Amino acid sequence: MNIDPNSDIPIFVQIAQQLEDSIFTGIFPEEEKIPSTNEISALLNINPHTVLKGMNMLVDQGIIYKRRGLGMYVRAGAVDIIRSKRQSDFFAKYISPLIAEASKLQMSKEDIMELIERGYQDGRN
Amino acid sequence: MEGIEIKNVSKSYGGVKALEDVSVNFGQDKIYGFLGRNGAGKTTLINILANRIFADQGSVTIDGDTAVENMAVHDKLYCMSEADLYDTGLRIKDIFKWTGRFYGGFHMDTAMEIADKFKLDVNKKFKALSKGYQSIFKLTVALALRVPYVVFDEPVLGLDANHRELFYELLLREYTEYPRTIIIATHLIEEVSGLIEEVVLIDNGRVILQETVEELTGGSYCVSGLASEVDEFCLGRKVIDTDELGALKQAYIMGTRPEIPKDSRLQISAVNLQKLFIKLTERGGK
Amino acid sequence: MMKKLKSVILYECVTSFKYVWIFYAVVFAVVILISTVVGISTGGVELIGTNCLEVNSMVYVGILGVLGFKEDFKMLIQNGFTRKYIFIATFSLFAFISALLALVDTIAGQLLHRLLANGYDSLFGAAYGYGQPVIMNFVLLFLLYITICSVMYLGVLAVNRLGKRLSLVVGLALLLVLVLLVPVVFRYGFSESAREDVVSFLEQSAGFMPDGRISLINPVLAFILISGVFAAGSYLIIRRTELKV
Repeated sequence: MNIDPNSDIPIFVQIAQQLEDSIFTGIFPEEEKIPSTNEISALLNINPHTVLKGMNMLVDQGIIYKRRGLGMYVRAGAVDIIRSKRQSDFFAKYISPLIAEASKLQMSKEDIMELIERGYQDGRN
Repeated sequence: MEGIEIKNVSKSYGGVKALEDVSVNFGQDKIYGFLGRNGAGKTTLINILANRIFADQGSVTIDGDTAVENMAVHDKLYCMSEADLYDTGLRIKDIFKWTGRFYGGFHMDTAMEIADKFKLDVNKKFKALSKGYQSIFKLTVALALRVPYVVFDEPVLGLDANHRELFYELLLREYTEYPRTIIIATHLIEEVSGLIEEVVLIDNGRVILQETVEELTGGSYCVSGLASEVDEFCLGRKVIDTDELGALKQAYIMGTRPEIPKDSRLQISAVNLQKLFIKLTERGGK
Repeated sequence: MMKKLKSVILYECVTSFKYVWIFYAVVFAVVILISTVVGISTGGVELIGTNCLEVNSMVYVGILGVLGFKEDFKMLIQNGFTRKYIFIATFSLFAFISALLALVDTIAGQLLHRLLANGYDSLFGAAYGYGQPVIMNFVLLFLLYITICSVMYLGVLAVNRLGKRLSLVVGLALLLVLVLLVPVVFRYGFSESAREDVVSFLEQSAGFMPDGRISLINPVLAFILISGVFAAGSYLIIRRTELKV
């Protein structure tokens, strides 16, 4: 994990994002414990309250949950939750800026479709 | 009334106002960034809090008790100072020993362990230490003292990058082990921006804001684009500073970040703490 | 709170104690050196020029009064002590060191006088003779040292408060008043009988009664009064003293 204090994104959001990434890629598997607030705080030199705030974002989304006296655990089905969340964010996060940039560059819808087609072909080879 | 309460404090030196009607509260068990440029009045306020100097006006209380000449607050507060307020002829371990006799909350084991981590030679006399190690000694004492309110005045002065990193690490470790209010007075905002929860910003002897880091960074943004369009956007908004580069203009604005219309050519971005600090304190010092 | 007071008094005394030994080591080394030189050149065991060793202690407690403020004030303020506690601790230190020096000086004075068969005079012996009780020798020395401490302490507090330049002016003015004005006023402003009254008052304060008797209670009271006044003055100043950094 690596936090950029100069980023536009608030630190607690960065922490939530990076934890989410690690859960999604299976570094922290479902029903397993994730590092504690204090461990993350010490590793990154970030205020434990800030770390907790980031974790609570994931708790609110049902990705992790607290086991009393034991710590935070990844909820069963967390990967699915993350996947569907990211799918629904996909349009806003990738398509909208893609179209905005394309129109600045005066590229047509057909141009973009062609590029997407090419991307898939390259990926296949 | 819990916490440190500073109310309408003013202090002048020979007609020059060092602090003007300063009111701040420091709550319990939080890490504060007490930020300001050199000479903004940080040390003056800390010296008043620590009963080293007296305010001309106003009051300072700790958990409801006055902080002025009051032994009842002795075990509650420790202010590490930038100036060397030690008997410079004493050995470091002897100063540790005396600190332990003065304060019930001093942990000798922790002090020795921290000294060891920094490779601070406790058999040396204070005056025989380099400037950097004098700073290290001072912050070691403050870190090993478990009192409810600890103030660090420019703690990393003269420390190299590794030692700074180590200090922040130890600070967080001590804080999680024994939560207490920690006030870090510094002008090096970037380094502490991840550590602090709340910011008190002082400029020219006045406290210009006190907010949580998130309120502050979430409550400000930067808009850039064509000068005329930026100017139009800024109408009726609280602009703290602008930069211009030919026809391009950037404005730093306080307030919640608005959605910009789809057809607009303006760009909006967040402002980090360091940038915000510079923009808020730039006027008068540029 | 008593624990805190104890710790701060202990700090003051312990950190100053070591210098007392250094002080005595130096004093006796010098005394022995001078006696040896004198002894060799005159062939007699006489402590010529080394009478009144108490004067050394007076210089020492004078320095103590000054240093009692400088280093310790900032160290103790840093450690959260109030000025009241610092004041109490400082005067405890003065009492401790004065008592220690007075004890050593009394014993040394009495011994040297006897051992060297009138070849040595202590300050007390020179003033009041050797017929007085030894305990009074100690008490008077103790009070003398305390008085010097409190005078010097008030002085250094005043200098700190006024700043260097202003204190120089004030100091010079005080010196002028004492050296020039007071003798002049005394000589020409007073009548013959008034002058005699003043002299007699001063003599009686020092313990020399008009009928030739010696009353040691008078100088005891005089020293208590003087040191009390200076201590009270010091307290009033230190309560408003700010740390200078």
